[in-house]
Amino acid sequence: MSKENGLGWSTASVDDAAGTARAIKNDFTSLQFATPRGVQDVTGIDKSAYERLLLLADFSVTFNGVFNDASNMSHDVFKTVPSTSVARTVTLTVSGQTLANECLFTDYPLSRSDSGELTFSVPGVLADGTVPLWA
Amino acid sequence: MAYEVNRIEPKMPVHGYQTFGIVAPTSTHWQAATCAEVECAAHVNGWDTHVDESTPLGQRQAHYIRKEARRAYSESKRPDGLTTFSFKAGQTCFRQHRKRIEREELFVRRNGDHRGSPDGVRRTYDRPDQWVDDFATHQEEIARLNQRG
Repeated sequence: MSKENGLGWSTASVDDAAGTARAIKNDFTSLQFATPRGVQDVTGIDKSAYERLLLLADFSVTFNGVFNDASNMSHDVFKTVPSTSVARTVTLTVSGQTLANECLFTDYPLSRSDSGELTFSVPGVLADGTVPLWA
Repeated sequence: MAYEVNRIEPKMPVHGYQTFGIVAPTSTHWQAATCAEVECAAHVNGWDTHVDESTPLGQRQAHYIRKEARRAYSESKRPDGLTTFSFKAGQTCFRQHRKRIEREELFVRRNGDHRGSPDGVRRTYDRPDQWVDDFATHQEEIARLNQRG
């Protein structure tokens, strides 16, 4: 497996509002994908096969990071989240494997901690209902 | 989290989810950085600080800028009474910056989602490729079930 920098996680890119991928891995403190656990957890609240399909495709993402207003870094990418509603491609590369998702982000709140750090949290969901696969 | 975040709520209860995450905590994976190191916009372009000197806080801020900050600035009054201190580019701004250090992140899987963890179960992987393998296998199973309908 190829590694670009000797570390396992080599890439995290998110489209800006214009659709240009920006490499902003170094701004993140965490990145999380919440996925359905499996069909057994879904079955209990199923009403129909159609609903189950929706539930199985229900994924959300949360990116947390440290504010960075350098050109084409996280603030440039996420500052348009409140004013636009475009699906953005999120691409992760870990240990030579790539996961690409089309995401719709819903917020970009900033928070200042007692120690003076300015941090952000960006939540989103899969935009197209397609289960993203590693390739 | 202490503040409200606008989210699309998940369709299932919290125990119906598991979360795959990559974590680089500020306490272990970040260090203090200068404005130049992070190319902060205030440092690159200069910046304006607006101060309300009719308040005790504003008076303290203005005093700090004039007497203690040791930065070059010009001063002007706005029509609304606020004082504007304009700082030229190339100076250290008033924010604290941090930058990532080259250290392997933590690769984790836990039950639950952003609402919490129903049982506190959390696994940390020894190697990132193990996390990818587990994540990929899980996704393929979900996709298979989804396709089957």
